[in-house]
Amino acid sequence: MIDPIKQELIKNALVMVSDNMMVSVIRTARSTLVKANMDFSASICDAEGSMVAQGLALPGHLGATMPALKGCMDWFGADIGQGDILISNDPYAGGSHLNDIFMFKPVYKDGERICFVALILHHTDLGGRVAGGQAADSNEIQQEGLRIPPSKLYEGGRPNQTLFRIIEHNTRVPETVLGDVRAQVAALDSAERELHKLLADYPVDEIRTYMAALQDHTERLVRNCIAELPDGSAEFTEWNDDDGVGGGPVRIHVKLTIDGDRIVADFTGTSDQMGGALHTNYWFTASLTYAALRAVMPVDTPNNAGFYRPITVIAPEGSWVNPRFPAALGARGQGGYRVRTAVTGALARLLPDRMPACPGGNEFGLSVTGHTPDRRRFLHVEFHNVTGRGGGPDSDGQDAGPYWLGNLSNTPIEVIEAENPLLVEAYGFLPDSGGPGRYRGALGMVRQYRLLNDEATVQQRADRHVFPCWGIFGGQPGALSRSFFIRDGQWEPAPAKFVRSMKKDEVFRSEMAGSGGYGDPLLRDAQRVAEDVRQEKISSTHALEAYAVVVGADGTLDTAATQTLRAERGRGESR
Amino acid sequence: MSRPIRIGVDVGGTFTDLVLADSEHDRIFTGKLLTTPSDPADAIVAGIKTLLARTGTAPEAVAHVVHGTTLVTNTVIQRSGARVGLITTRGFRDSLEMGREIRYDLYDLFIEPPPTLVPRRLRAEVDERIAADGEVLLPFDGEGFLEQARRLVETERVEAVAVCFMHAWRNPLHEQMAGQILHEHFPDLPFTLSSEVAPEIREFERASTTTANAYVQPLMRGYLSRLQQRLRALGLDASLYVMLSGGGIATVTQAQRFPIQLIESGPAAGAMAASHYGRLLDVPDLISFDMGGTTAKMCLVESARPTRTHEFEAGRVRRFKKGSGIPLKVTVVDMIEIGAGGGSIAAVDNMGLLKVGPRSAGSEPGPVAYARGGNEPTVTDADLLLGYLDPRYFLGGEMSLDLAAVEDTLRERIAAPLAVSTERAAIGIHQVVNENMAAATRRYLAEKGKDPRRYTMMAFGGAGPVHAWSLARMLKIGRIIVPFGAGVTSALGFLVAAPAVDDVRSLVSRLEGLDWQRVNTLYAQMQTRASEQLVEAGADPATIQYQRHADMRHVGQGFEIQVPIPDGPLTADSEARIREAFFDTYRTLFERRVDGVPIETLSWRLSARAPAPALSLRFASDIRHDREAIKGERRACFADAGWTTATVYDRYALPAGYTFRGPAVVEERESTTVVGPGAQVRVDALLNLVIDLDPEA
Repeated sequence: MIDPIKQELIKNALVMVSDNMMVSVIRTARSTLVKANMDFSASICDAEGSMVAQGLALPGHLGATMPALKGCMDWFGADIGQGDILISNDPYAGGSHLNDIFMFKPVYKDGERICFVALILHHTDLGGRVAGGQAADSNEIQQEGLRIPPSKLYEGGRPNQTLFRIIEHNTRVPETVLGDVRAQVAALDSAERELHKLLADYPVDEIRTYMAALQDHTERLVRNCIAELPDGSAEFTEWNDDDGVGGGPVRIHVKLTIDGDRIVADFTGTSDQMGGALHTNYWFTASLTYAALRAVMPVDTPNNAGFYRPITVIAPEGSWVNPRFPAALGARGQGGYRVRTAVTGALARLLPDRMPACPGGNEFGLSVTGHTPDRRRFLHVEFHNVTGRGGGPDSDGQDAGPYWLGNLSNTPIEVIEAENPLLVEAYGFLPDSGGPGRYRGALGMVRQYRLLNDEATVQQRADRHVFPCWGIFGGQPGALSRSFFIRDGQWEPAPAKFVRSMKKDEVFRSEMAGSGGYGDPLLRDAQRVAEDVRQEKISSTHALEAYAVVVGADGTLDTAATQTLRAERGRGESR
Repeated sequence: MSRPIRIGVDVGGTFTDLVLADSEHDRIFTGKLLTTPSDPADAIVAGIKTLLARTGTAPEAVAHVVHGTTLVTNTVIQRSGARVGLITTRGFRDSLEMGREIRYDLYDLFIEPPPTLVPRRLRAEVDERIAADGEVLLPFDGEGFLEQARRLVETERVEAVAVCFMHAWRNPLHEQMAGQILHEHFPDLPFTLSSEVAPEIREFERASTTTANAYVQPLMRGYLSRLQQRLRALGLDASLYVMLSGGGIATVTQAQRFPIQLIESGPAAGAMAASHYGRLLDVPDLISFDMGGTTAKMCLVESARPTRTHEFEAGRVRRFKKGSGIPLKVTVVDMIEIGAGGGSIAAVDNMGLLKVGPRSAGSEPGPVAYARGGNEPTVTDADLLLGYLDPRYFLGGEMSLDLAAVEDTLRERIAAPLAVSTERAAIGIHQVVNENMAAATRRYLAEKGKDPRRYTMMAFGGAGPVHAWSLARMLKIGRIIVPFGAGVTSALGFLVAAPAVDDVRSLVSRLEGLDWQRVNTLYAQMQTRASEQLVEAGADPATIQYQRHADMRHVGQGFEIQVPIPDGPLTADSEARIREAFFDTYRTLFERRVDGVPIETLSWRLSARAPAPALSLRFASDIRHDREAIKGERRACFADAGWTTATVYDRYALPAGYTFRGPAVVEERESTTVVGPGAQVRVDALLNLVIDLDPEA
């Protein structure tokens, strides 16, 4: 018999422990990605490895924990005991890409395993051809760095010194990576202690019963929610500019079916696996699908295994979204965006009044590495994936507001400059870049870096230089991304993905795509167009061309001229 | 001091509370009237006038008036501040709107972003650039700056200007030049320089603080000047002080310069009062628990001082959602606010689970028990059904509660859908709201590396004493103190706060090879400025206490910890001591020590304060020792014990030294103290209730 009050109390305790793990990591981790970008997730899984509770997590990590834990449990079987910490980063054993190290610690009560505490953390560098492990142009996983199969980092409370040394000797920044490994271990240890305190009053079988009940509840909630959506099927095709090594473009095709209380996402029709490292493995593809679908679930839907049960993801083996060994996956973060926007597009066709147009951004991952003038090695890694969502059924995209498919915070410019020989010359909006529509897409943004030391290697992994962020229901796409190197006033265009050297005083400029618009731009309220001109978010020329609105340079709206022009354009289009 | 009277005034959203302390006759008086939103000074003046008349106090006997105000907070929440222009380094005018590009809700597609106080058109850029090490890379373009300032002031009609240049935390030169130009050309225009209001690294948070200060400056300038004049007209030539967010007080002049420091002016008072009790009762380490109708506030007090933090979020789009507000770099009393109060609404969600809060029925329509139209069950309703509250003695009998309606509503809305009994539903509500508070408190303490079991709980506010016993049990806290007059405890905070100044300078450097001379110079600057301000506020320079802290971290970490810094000039010899202090603090927070990773410093902080004024806590007028201590008994329900008979006591009749055991209920006008089975209660010399949860332990 389930006592709903007790269930609420146990759920709160579990979520609190997960959240506390997050706090502990944020406050002690050393890499910028972890501390500022929050590229990590904490959760609790039951004794069989099903997720019960998750801390505030990156959407891309939604479905990541369980397969990696399964990889470890399959390997070790009964050989898991108190004081062990299991570790893995192997994308071919349930992991996602090499930089994400998964750790699991089993928790025991009265000699019985009651659950696992779990932590995924993105590590700055684990070796490989290019620092940071994000290179899009690797062709097999062996080029990407240290692959840790399911292993034990601790056994019976004793550290595996060999493994620690292997990690230390396979990274360019051992101080940072070992610091983060320790932060990860410490957070798991304290989560275990907290769980003991919180669950002291509950017998083991009761804990198990409620852990299962929590998952069942979520499953019922999700099924109810899906059942209320209209049944139907929609297909959507997205394109990635290239595969990271000059091939492509990559076609990502999805057929989304809502059928009663279940959803099926079928990626049949997607390109076969290619060169390059942008592939998403099956589990990442599934996570991204969950994340995209999460948007139409109630906001407070718990994240646990019950959430996944009503959702089926089909990704043909050997396709770009479920490649076979030894395909490279290091830059899967970028490819993953396209999987998400594909599912989002299909969802928008099924639920036109609930979904916005395509979110913007160039899905930019940047690493700059070299030596400071005092001969210290520096490595600046930054993800700056997105701008706000596209225009929606009744509102504009929020300029610079991150959209729901990721949640990476930016790194303060003053901190970048204090830690690296870089000068950031601009970080701001790109006027006119939001996709025109009745509701405008969010503006794209620009970041511009000047190198202050003699030489560095710079690598960009971006997209949307060829295929823009789509508009819907008559809304137009946002402006494309562009990249440039600037030297002595000469602008030289650069591709979306590259690795090259950069010299002192050379400037790298990355312009990120704007989001798509929603609905016919001619139906946009002319006053709002004029306000965008006044706020210098669009030019009066753009107002005229994209919206047929006549606005003076000072932002005053010419209502009569606008009416005439819009009537003419409307006629022109109907002809 | 020749003048014996001090007055504290707390202007809240609904009520203006006043408290008057007469140190000559050892008496405290309180007053309450409705706040006058159009000009809060109206209620202040009226309230003071009445209080003076009632107590027969001559205006010239008043030494000072301390004012706590929600005006700054409300201005930000209601977006009713000034039209502000922001001038930044070229390339960075959008930083304010872009923020940290993080969502406060991961999955809601259409969340409303935290507000941007300055729209893009009013954000201008100027040529200048300073590097992270303070070196000038591009000189300041004064003419270009003046041109932008003219456009903003003359064409765009801004009422205040904020200036935030890159790395001004490291080198304020260009901002100072900008300030000089503004001062010369627009002598009456309020302006704020980032290097003065928040000289700390991280450009967005600094710009946000600078802008917010400019946003409230014109309004607060006028308001405080007017209030001062009106008090003078009343014959009060007493000094007027304003409560700062960090728990100190400041003169009107200082408050007018950095009004953003008043953002948490009111809430700090409760924690200050609890700290004062801690000092007086020799219980220096405690958790202050203030629970009212809508929220509960927790604050950790150590060494009889509230803990403080240097970050705050104002004007949240969603009140209890971290990240949905405007980040400010200001020193505030470090408290958590939880959406848990007497008015918090209980409901069964679509998963069939019981949820309590953060939605509140407030005072209108209020709980079902008030019979004012509220039809959703609240925490107060559950407390009534459990026998904790007396339906006939609410607000001292001024209001009666409708128990029958509560029973019906609880059955229909909670018990039936959950298929449990009505009393199980009520216990569930009581437990869930307490567990919400316990969880938030555990998290709050865990972030500081603290164990709740080490502390005494100080419970006040209308609902605090009702929930303290249950909450303390969940947190495994052994002792609770319920001060006399728990309903007005908070207001006493205004009378026990001392003039204080908090200042900060950033200097990012590794600990080894740190330029100690520069640190000494920064501290000398801060100390001079602080002592000048405190002397201006009436402090004797010889009695000023200084505390120093530095924000430090291991190189590469993203979050700093506050490490105590020894007094006196610092030299290379101080390094070892500071290093050890860093490890000590780190161990407290994270239970480990990391050797071999270099340590760096970011910001150096100085906290200067005058000694706290003495205040006795005798509410002489309320005491009725002529009455019977025991009023009777009634049935009350506790989670483990079920229905039992509790003795009901009259708080005003309990003499010092009186002891009794739970289950018991102690009634006073604005609150009720609930004591569960097994607990031992003692009335101390100041008539506070001291509750030991497990007296045999």
